[in-house]
Amino acid sequence: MFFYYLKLAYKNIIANPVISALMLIAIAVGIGLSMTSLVLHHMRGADPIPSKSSSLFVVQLASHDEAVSMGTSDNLHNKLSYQDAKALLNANIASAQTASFKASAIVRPKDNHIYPFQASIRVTNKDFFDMFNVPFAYGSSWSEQSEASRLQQIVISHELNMDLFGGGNNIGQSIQLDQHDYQVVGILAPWQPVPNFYDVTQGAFTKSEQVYLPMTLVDDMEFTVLGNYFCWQQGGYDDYQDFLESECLWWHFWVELSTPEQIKAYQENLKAYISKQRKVGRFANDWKAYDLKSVMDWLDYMKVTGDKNGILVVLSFLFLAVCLINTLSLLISKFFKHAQDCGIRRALGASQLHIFYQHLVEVGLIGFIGGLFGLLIAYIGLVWLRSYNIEYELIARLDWAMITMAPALAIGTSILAGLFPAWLICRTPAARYLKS
Amino acid sequence: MTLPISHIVASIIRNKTNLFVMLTQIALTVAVISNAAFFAIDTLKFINRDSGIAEHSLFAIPVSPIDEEMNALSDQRVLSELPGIVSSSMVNSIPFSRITWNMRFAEQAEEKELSKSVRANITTADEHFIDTLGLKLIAGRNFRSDEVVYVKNTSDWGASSVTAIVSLAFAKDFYPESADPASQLLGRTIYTAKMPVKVIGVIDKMHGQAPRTPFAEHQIIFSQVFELVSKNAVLSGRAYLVKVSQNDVQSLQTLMKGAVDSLRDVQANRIIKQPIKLLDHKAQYYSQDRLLKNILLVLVSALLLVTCLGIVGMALFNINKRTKQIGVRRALGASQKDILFYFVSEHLIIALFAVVLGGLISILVNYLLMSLFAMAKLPFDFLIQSMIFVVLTVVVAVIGPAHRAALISPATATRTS
Repeated sequence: MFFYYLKLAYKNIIANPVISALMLIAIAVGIGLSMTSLVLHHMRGADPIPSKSSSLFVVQLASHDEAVSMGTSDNLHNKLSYQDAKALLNANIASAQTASFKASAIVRPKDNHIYPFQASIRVTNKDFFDMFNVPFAYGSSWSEQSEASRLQQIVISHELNMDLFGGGNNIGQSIQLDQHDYQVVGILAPWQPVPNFYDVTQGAFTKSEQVYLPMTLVDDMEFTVLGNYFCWQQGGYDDYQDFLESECLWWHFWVELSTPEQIKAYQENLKAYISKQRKVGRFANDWKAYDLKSVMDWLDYMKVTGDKNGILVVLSFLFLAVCLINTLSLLISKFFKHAQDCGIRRALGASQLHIFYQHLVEVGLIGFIGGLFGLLIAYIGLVWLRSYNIEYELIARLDWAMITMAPALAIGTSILAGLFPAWLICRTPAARYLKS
Repeated sequence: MTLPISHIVASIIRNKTNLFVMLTQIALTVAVISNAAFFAIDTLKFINRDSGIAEHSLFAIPVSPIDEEMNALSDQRVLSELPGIVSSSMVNSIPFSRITWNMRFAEQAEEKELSKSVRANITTADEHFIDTLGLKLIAGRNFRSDEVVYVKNTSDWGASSVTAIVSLAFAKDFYPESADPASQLLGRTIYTAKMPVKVIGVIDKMHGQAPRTPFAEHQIIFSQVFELVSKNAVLSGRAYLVKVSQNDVQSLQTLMKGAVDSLRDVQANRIIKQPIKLLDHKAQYYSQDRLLKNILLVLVSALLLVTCLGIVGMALFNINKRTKQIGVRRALGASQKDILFYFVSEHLIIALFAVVLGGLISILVNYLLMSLFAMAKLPFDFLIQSMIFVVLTVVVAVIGPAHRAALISPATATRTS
């Protein structure tokens, strides 16, 4: 029966080209626009690391004095000072932990045709790669030993490998950053978390860094923080060593804790650390001076999912509603044009339910075709979005969930719109149309 | 012959399904269009608000020295010799660059109390800055060339004494109670941490690196030019801002390329990034807002299209259904004009009711958006304008089908079916 109804639906669509086209346009535009805004919203709020998002936590500490306002909901800053970061790393309580910050250095390519350029760097420890599921194409992270003995080893991104060497396995090559030579020990496969959750302070949709290097080198190399750091103590600092020891906040700190027991143990550890620090005059405040936030809580706290996109989603779904009412009105006209056929079918023994079902199949088919066109519109829309800026280049992409959702949404909503017209037509007394 | 309105109303009420569908569709259209268009226009106004800078005639060349310091004066001399270039200024960071260098300023050195200090974005520049950017000096004077400190090494940096020009918005917040904050601040020395800064001028307005931040218009310009090799983050955006003459705005692309080539001739071994027009730079800064505005405009136009098509479709259906009645009316003496008038007024009446309903829904939707997100309040006059606009759209959409109805021949009345 279903296929017979499909055939009837097809015939009816062809028989009324104008009305059918109007309906298709309404559904396609409605689905296309609402999918586009939904993709933006979905990707902004997407879980960047689903397998671990509930076991990775940001550590926040309130090492500042009572009077200092951080401007956040819990008055904690999003970064740690070097002394706290180092102390927590050394305590080694969590199964994995990483501290990092963003820096930059000038790369002088050996190839004289390329001018010197600035590369972005993430200064971190070796746990960074495992914790955040960073994929390697060649080699691996530097070892704990080389970290401890401050060897100048680096991991580079896929893109930098392409720019400098034209790709391929270049483990063992050296790269000059600022005045120093570093040995490449690992080359990443293309990697770009969206949003770039491990550091959202400079925009959540920025590109991940080109170079990764061991944080034990900070004392020797004196890397400056590129972007945000916050010094709440007045007075400043005299030299780099002073800056390292200062209360300035610049390290992003993440821990991996898989079980509630581990979380509890880690919190106890933080409490013990804070009370020890209070004895030496730091953490001069009397509130809960720490917090652990999981990935999604963190993105929410840092306001990564934009407000304005929400407005867009609401408006575009209202728009979809108008498109559906429009479809509904057109369906009524269309169905009644064929009321006579229905009269004959009823007279030949089709039940009201059959008529109802037949019309829903027709609506579903229109919805499906409209949904496919809608998907095409959404795709064009997203290509257009990507040209706007780097942020949309990263987030304006259709994933499979969205690709399957568009036609499903289209069929679902158009069947919803078709219920009333189908009900109207199936209740029409057959005799009325058989008379003339 | 014209039908009295009461007859038209009676006929509208008889066809309940049609009425209900049309009412809902037009009402929702009003709700979406008023909110979306208002939000789009609001966003556009935000992007296009006056930045105080003559953006259209400016471009920027990001530069930073790597092995030895730069010589800003010889760079600028070379730039000024290029045809089409009026002036240039060396800054620590280009307006609309996102990353800001900001500090708190107070009357006393090392002021600990937050309430006694005011935050401002810092730009460092030379005496050509005001002219190059087209800023309006409203009190005091510009930097003299002997006041500009050329910082060649780190020790110079701390030792130099700084004169500054501030924005009026900063002055107002610095002396909130004063009737004339600009003159009160003029000539004074204020402090950031322990560093003294002498204020010698006040400009009307200037958007700095991050005009979307709350203290966007708090701007302070230091008379400093950094020539040293430094990795300090506050100098990471160093650039020449270059003003071209009015006639040469069209050929900016060629001018920019020429400027980079001549800078490389002066000193090849340094980083010179791709030059960028300030307008493009600003557009990038506001790209999210621009995008939002454009999507909303697409939404509004698509909705108008869909609603128009829907009304045309419905009207055609109704006319088909009533072909015979129309024929009868024509046979009884109604003119083509009467038929046209009948269908237009029928839809006009429905549309009038619908937009009133739509106005109420608009307010509800706006209220919902205000409570959920940071949406502004929909002004009443804007709502009225959208309602009128939708009514007009409906009337325009229905004229075509109504005209077709008017052409139905009286002879139709004599035929069966």
